[in-house]
Amino acid sequence: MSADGVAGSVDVVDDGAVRRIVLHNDDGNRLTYPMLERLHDVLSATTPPSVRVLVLAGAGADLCTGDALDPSGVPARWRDRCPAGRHGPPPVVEQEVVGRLRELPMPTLAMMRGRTFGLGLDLAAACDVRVASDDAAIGDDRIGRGQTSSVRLSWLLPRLVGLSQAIRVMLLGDTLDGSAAERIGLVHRCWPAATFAAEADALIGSLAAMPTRAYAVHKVQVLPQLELGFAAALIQSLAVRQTHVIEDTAEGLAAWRERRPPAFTGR
Amino acid sequence: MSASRPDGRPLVFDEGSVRHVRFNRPEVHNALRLGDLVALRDAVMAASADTAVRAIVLSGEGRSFTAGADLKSAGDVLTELVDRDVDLAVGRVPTVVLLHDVLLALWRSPKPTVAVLHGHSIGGGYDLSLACDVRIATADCTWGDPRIHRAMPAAEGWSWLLPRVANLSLVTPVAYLGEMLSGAEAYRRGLVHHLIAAGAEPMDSARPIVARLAALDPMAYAATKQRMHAGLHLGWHDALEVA
Repeated sequence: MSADGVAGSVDVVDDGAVRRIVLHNDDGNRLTYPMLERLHDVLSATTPPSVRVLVLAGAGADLCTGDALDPSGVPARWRDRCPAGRHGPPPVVEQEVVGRLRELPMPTLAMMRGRTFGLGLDLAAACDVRVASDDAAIGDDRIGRGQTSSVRLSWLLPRLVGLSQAIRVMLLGDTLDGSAAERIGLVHRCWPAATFAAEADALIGSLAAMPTRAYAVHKVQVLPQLELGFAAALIQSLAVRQTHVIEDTAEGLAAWRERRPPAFTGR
Repeated sequence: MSASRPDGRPLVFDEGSVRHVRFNRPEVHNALRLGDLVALRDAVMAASADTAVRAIVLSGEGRSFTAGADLKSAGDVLTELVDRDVDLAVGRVPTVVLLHDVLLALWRSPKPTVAVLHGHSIGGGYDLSLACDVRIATADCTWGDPRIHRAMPAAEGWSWLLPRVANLSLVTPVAYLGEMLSGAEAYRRGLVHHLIAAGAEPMDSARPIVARLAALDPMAYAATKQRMHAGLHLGWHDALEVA
């Protein structure tokens, strides 16, 4: 393993309205503690308003094959919380990373080319949109190694694909190709490997042109309401609606009346 | 089948023990005005309280179920709603509050509630269909929520209902990306219970399905529905409290 493999890296590449977070390490971009620390900082930082879409991608052929969490590599500020071999009480860096990714207001998209396993699946599942190539290999191989997700995939996955299919992934440890993942709803779209990059770019482009503040207002209703009763959820929706000003709404209605494509700013 | 009403308010009529509420502005795909929502709410609440009624069916006259709120009538605030008019500039909030009343009335109704979907079943039509127990759709109907494409903030119950009626994976295409689903695709995704051939007269095909629902034991239906709904937001052990 190279020196890079011990630490790995997380690159942030801004391209217009699109911020790409690219995982970079040996053996399918395995995540090390320094990479998680970096992800934590990147996802916690205030995002410039110009960034309207966040894309999670892996360098090379894979998204992420899971963790490479050597306890000796625990970042200093987490270390007193993490006795060797245990993640210990919160805050736990991997939990914080997944939590922050899930709560980002802008659209988030996971590029699931090649392999996505374990902690990689945890991260992908926390995104709004997952796209896969047909030759992708997607699963949770931890159960086969006597390990388990510690970042609430057990909470999220049954809500994402239903309990039956969540059991298939998390307890039976089945590996799905892109088509199977699309069939159960784990990924939004599956494309042939040859056209994956072009199709994904087109989708990312359309996300970046969306009224992303209105999108955020959708998200801030859907996610908290997973934990509310129906009547309380309606009140939460009303409150959200009354407290968010979406400038794009005027443009959306004007474009609809004038039968032309809208030009949204994301404000 | 039903008498017309010049004011375009929903038609409310019975076929045996089935109470029909039929949207009745076919010239505008049954776009709903505030007054139409008031009539719908009152009809659902009255039917829910009527022991002779064994099923409530929502449907649309003409080409569509409903294309949702009538944006062109947004300023048409009824006198009885003025004190609820939080957002006078666009008049949208009374619509939302009224829609909440309708959704809660449907959700809490002890009767089987059925949406018969054809043509456009979008926006408010999509909201209403999610609050019903049973969705019957033509294969070629258009179902979904285009509001995100107009940057309109949605607050109409779907954000709670959609992940539960189906699951979170359907929230991505429908709510976040604003993709329209055909009836056939909605059936494939488990959202629609019965699929009707494209072009069929929806109510003719729906009638036998509704008749089966109307023949069920009303107490058993109400109790089962109530427990399932409660269980959606209770823990495993807490659910015993309503069992």
